[in-house]
Amino acid sequence: MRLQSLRVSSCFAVLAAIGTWQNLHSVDFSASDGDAVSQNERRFTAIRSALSDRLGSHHGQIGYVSDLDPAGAPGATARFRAQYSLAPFVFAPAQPYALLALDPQFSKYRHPGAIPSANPEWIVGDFSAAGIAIPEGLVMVRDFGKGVVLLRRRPK
Amino acid sequence: MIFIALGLLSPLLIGYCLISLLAPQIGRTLRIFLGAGIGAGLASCCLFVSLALGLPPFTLEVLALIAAIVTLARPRGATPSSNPWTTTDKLLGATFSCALIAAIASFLSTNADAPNGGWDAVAIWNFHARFLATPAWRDAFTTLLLYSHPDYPLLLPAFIARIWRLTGDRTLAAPTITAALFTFATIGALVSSLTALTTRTQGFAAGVLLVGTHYFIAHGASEYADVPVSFFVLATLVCLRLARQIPRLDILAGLTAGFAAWTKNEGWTLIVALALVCIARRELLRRLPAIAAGLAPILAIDLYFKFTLATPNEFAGGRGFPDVMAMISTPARYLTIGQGLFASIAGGNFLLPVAGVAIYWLLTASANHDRASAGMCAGLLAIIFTGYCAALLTSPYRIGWQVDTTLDRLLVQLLPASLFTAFLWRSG
Repeated sequence: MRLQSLRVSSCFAVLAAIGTWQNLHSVDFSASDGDAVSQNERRFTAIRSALSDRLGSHHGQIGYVSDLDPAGAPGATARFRAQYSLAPFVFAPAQPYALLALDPQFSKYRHPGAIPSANPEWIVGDFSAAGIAIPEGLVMVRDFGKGVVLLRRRPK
Repeated sequence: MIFIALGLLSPLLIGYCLISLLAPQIGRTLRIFLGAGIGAGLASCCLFVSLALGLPPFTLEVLALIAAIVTLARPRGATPSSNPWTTTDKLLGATFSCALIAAIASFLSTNADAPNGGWDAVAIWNFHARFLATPAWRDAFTTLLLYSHPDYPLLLPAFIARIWRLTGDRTLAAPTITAALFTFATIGALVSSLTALTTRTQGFAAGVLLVGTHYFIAHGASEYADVPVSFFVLATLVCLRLARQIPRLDILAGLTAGFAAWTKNEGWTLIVALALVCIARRELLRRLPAIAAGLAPILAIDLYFKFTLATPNEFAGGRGFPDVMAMISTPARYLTIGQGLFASIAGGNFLLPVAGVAIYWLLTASANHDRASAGMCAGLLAIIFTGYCAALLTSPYRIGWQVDTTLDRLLVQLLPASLFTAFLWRSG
């Protein structure tokens, strides 16, 4: 019985050592500039309060434009991250809606949900370092830096 | 800081008092760890129901807290006396403690790398919490945000949102604390339940395997919902087993099964598995009314959410019977799932717990006085696993992508309960 206990303790000490090594191997507390989501949070902080002021509300539907293709992975990711930072504001739909991992064989399973069309007055511009290219029909209201701008639909 | 502490202490107290009320016989440590997750589930439900009814957001939680404090003041029976510590207990206890410290360091480091959480936390759980923390909470459930899965249940978002409603901001401490609560309550519940039901050695041995599984710790720190689901699957099995001595714990088993479904849609497989096992075993069929009494309120909340707010589920919509049959009859899809399983177990994330259980079984005698309970737990897990495989098999996404991104997370949901079952099977 004592021998069995000794064997169990020894084996589990080895297993614990392996597990501890795996856990400690990933530990890195060196200071960094933060992950992409946190950096994005900082980029969008000022425009979030500006939107609240302009809309007179902390929520509502707004537009989103970017120089990245919304159907591609980088464009979709940038949009999702901006939406996360600006919630509970909700972005009006981008076309085409990107569900990148759908099996082409079963593409008919794409969500049939009717996406209402909307033309919000206020639009968030999220541009990469290449420069800010304001789409036709919009005017810049304020530049928040780092590619973030507040745009407004030009009255017809 | 005070509000964060309040947001954490209130559910801990509610959960602890509920278990103390139903089962004062069980040890304090187990009550604390089980109570942590159960209290979080109750607090989450309280917020959602208050919002749905148009009440001030903390109305129901304050009532629950008052009730908890009243029950705490009641005289209680003596807690069970614990056995003296053996040399093996001490050795494995020390080993477990060292491994736990490394796991805590790993958790903190992983979370510090991505304080908003991993992809699902950003796209789904914390994102929904950002809506639930505001008067515009219903805006989260719009077809404009289909990528964020507005049909996913709300235990985690509502729990995080209630802390944000208390603090008045969106402090990242809320999701971090929530992730830590579930990760370490799961470890604590596994060790303390096996200690109560078998021996300290078995409790610590299982604990060593769980804290040594880096994927479990890192995944918990990433603020995904799979570790909370794993807590509720484990808690359900523990309550079902303990209910053989303390029948009122069947109510908690139903409650925790409901919370699994209120955390993630996969939790519904636990409910189905529970129903099937109850039907198959006469002993459990007699206990069904108590289980259903715990399950019904949470199920009602989840169904209310599904029918009034949630958008259609991606797995449920759009496929007809012939399409599903075509998927089921494609051998390549089975092969992909099998290869994924082999890669997860033999190649990496789950090698340590599988090897550890195998070693423990080889080294210990096969005497078992609790095979019926272990068999019931194994049956439940087998049904859940079959359900998961069926979902993968009929996924509308590319099967390779689905397996790569999902299988390990599904296995995490079953890991603590599988360790509990494996060590219960070997109890002598």
